[in-house]
Amino acid sequence: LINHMSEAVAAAQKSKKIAKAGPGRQVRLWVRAKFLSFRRSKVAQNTNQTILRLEGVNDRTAASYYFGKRVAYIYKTHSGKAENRFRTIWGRISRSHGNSGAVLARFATNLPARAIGSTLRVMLFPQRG
Amino acid sequence: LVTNMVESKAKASTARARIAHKLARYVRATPVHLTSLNGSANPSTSHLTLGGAPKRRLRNSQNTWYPADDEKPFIKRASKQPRASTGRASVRPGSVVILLSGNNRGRRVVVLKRLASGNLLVTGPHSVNGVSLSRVNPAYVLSTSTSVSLDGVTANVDDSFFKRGKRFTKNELKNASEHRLKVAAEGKAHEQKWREELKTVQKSVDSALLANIKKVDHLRGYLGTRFTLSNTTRPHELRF
Repeated sequence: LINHMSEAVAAAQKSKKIAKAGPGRQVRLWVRAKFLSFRRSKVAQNTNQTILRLEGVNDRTAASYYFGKRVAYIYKTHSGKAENRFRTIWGRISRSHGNSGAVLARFATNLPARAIGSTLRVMLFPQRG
Repeated sequence: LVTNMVESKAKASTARARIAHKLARYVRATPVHLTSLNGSANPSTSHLTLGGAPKRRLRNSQNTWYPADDEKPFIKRASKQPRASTGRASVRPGSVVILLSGNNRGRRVVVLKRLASGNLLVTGPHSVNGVSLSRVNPAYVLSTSTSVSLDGVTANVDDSFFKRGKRFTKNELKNASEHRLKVAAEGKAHEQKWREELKTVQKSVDSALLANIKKVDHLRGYLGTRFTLSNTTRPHELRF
């Protein structure tokens, strides 16, 4: 049994802060990222690509560590059973954006506009090398 | 195919005809007007010096077309099979890695070996941090520079060890066919047997591994602690 749960369940349980079976406090293995905006020009935006500002990442070289890393947008819904109430949209960081460490990410389905300004989770996987 | 076939030697006197002879892939053995009804025993070879290299001759008696050039040697290309991956260079048997995903995220575990499927076989050891023998995708693991000696540790476990029995949900078993019930029962029996086997293999592997761990100061405590990011740690600046 490969030790990796399906992403949706993993994300849901992470965000619900359920004390996992066994001892140990909650661990954070993801980097906070602000969803700044969709990639855009002055008058038009491309909702396929999101601009993220990762916490503590201030230049292009630092941002390159996060290329390919998976990003999760987690949101709550009213409907569904308790364990299904947290939902995720997964994406990946594709490239840098500018010189100050912002990155572009693309998601399986485009993020909703209400996510702008919210915190996304940039996971530390997949690890390279 | 007109450009590939040259009719006869007779017209080879013009420059254009000579070039046509050189470039022709197929050449007539004898000119058409000289070909007898029965055909000669061997085709005429007087033209074979034209262009230099002798051209191949047909073995049959008919003056028919034959390829002008030598046969190209058939080179068997290596088939385009993907090569087996060598895996991550920073993760070696004995190294300590941090699990990034799953139930045991944050746990520091020992890599025992790389399985044929490409996954890593890891163990906590179980008594140290609760991680039993399991497979992990190497991309979902943080490699560290710490490693544990694997002297005396033998893990005769491969991918087939982790093949689980078939499980059915309660709904699927409602009004199930006899075949399905049989498969479910087999799966359950397999599961029980597997858990017992896991326990014995786990014990044998961990006992040897723990002996090695205890020799290193603080290593047991290190393996028992989970890794986490704090507000001041930046993963891109960390060196593991």
